[in-house]
Amino acid sequence: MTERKEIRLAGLGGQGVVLAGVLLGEAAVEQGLYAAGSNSYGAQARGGGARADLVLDGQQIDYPHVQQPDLVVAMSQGAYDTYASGVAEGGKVLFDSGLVEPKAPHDRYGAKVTAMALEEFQNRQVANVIWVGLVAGVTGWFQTEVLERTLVRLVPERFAELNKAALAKGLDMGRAWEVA
Amino acid sequence: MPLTTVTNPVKAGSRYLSGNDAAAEGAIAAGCRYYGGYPITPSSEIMEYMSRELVPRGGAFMQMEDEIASISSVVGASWSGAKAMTATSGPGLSLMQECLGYAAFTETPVVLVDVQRAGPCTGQATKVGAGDIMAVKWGSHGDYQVVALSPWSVQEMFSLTVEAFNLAERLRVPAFLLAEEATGHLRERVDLPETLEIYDRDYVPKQPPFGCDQADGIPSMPGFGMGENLLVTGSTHDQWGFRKTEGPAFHDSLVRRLSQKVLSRKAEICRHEGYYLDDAELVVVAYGFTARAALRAVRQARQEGLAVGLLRLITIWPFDDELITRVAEGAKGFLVPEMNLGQVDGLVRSAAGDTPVKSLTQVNGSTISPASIMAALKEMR
Repeated sequence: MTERKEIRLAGLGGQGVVLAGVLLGEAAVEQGLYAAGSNSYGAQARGGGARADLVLDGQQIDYPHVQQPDLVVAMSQGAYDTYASGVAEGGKVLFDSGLVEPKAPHDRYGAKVTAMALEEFQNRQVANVIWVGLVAGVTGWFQTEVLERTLVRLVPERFAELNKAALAKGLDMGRAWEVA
Repeated sequence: MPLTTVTNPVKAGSRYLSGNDAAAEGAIAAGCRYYGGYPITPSSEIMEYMSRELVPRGGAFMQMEDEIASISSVVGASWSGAKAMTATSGPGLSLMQECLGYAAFTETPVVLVDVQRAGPCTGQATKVGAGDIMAVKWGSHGDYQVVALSPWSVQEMFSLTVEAFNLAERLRVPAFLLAEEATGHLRERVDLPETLEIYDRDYVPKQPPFGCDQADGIPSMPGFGMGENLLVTGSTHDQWGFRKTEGPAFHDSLVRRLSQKVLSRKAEICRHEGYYLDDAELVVVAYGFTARAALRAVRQARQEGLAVGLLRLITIWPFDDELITRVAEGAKGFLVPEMNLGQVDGLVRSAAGDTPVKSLTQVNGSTISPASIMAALKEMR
């Protein structure tokens, strides 16, 4: 990747939005890219709106804030309502189709990520890592092995295998979206 | 002692760090071995990082009862021979002002990181501002000088913290890293170098610690426990530190020297960057995070054929008025965007001569966008 790209992850506090942003940013830097991430969240630990913005570029980033995201991930209805319409032309809106009622008919990138985390992994907390996989799979901007290494570094050791499986799940689904 | 090149104790290479973490790493790399502080948003991560990292890496860390005690402990640590730092925000800076003056008057090298938030008073504690420009320079009573550096990236949260230590040690002054919430909480790629330039304070045994023959001299600095009969006082003192609270000549020469030792070295201290200035008719003068929005706006304006440039101030104090005067000679106008009500604007105006200056102010707790700067530039044409 050589051109500037902007990603906006949004949801509720407790969904792991910020950690997902850090994971993608760390991986991007390890890949040799420039990355700039900024977060916005309320005072409460759970339930308030949470947002993680990430700018990626092959060269030094002048303005580090997201202006018009190429990719929006909406993990809640509120996030979708606030940010989906701000996506750049030709950009993608990913959303949790178990939690979000999409308004634009062209929004085809829906997946029941939270339900999947609970049913397939018996752990709601891995939803954000499935999202990281989906983002990487659908964009092709991240190297799988670097993401996996970064993930193992950032999560507690006893959850490493669980998180790697969640990442793989997201990657597979994201890549399939691109083929579809 | 000149700058010496040392191996960076922090592992070289690219890392993804927050600005506050990078400032803490920069401090440790520069040789900081004492941190005394009291946590306050949005600077708290610096203290958290130091609480974890400083002791295992050979330093001492103290959580003090408030900001008054924090800076006082930093002054004490510095006189015990350690490079010392604290970090604060908003009202914490106000509480530190008395002892900041003590540090300036006793010529104590200390580094203060001020991660600016939306003031005055408690204001909006989690939101960004840049309203402390004048407070760091004029907040304590009397005439004195400080150094203040304005980082625009996480990279500079690291490198300018190192530079703040070097200037504090070399000039024996309080040196500020005048950061902003937007940079403190930004995460960004930082390229950590293999080597660093480090300045360790000058010490010649049995030399007077508070006096020089030169009107702008910087005396040798001993420390407690080094066998010197050391007296440190916030009252007017002679070259050996004895109180001299009556004689007019003592006070006059001391106060003038404390200012002159900084102001006579402005050419060495002050740094800036210029972008597209060669043929620029309109020049944006910006600093800190706002300079990044300004660079984006200037690039967009150039694409639209506007002859605009960016003058980015890295050093805020001492203020480089000669630089402004020099750039003003080739410019038709200045635009000064700031997250305050025009604190640097006034400084630019006083140095700009006949060149018109437009102030763009924003104090709503958010950063100034490239679009706002672009719109202001178009209005100026």
